[in-house]
Amino acid sequence: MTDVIVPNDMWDDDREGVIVSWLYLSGATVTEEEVLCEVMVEKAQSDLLSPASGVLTIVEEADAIVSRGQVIGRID
Amino acid sequence: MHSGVDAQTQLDGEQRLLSVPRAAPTLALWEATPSLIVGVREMRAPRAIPAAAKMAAAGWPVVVRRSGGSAFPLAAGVLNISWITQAPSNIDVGYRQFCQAIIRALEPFGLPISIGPTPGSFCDGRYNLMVDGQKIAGTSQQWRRLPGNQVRCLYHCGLLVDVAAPDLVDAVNCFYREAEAPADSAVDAAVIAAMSDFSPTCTVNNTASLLRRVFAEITHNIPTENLQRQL
Repeated sequence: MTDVIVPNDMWDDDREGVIVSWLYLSGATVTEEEVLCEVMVEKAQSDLLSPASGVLTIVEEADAIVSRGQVIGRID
Repeated sequence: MHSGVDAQTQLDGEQRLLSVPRAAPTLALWEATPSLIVGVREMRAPRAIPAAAKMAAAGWPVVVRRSGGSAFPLAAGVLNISWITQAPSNIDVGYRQFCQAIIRALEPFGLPISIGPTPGSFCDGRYNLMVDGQKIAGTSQQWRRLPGNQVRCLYHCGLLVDVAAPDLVDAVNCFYREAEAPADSAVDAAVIAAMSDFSPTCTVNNTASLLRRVFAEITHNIPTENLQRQL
């Protein structure tokens, strides 16, 4: 199992971001380095890539408030 | 500079530029015909769809961007600065570099421009450009991850150069009212201004010339760590 994590170096401090959208549903088969979702903080939107190939489980849905380093999904 | 083109066409052009792998840093300066750019969340307001139809009939078509963020008006006299380059080390570093470049370009106008949040403004954020506490520009970023471990960034700034700021505020507030958006969405006209309110010599053309000069300098002087950054 590989966690999908909001990168720790995406922004400077302890602000929270929001998941704008997931491009796949839970249960979808995804490939490493595909764009999985979009995260926004401070009017900056960034793609999050899949860290592995496998089946996606979404832990935090779209519109969820997230922090740096937070696990938002899993790839099995 | 591109002017008089609808916002959707201009935004599509930005996305195409952002998706070009290994492209040189690119500056696009553009104006659009009147329109309201809104985020997907705002279109979830109870009456957002009929509100958008009403705004279009009033000459303010609503364009929904895929990202978050709140409503921002475009019109002649609002100069859009789109800067596409390698992603910075993080978003705050990027905002500071982008805002400082714009401030440097605008120095000849002699305006006391500061960076910060403007409570009550449309599309507020930490990295607005302000004169005497009034917002004259908002900024945003979009990071795109491309094949080959490349990360490119689209910086955007909507700079109110020579436009009637109260008209822009009215358009945004009209949309929010018609959409039955939360009451705290309303924009305070007292915190929004155009550069020309402070310096009548500011025009879109002379502002664009100053920006071109400074961004051309930056193109030849991008910090090495940014060029080598791999995320």
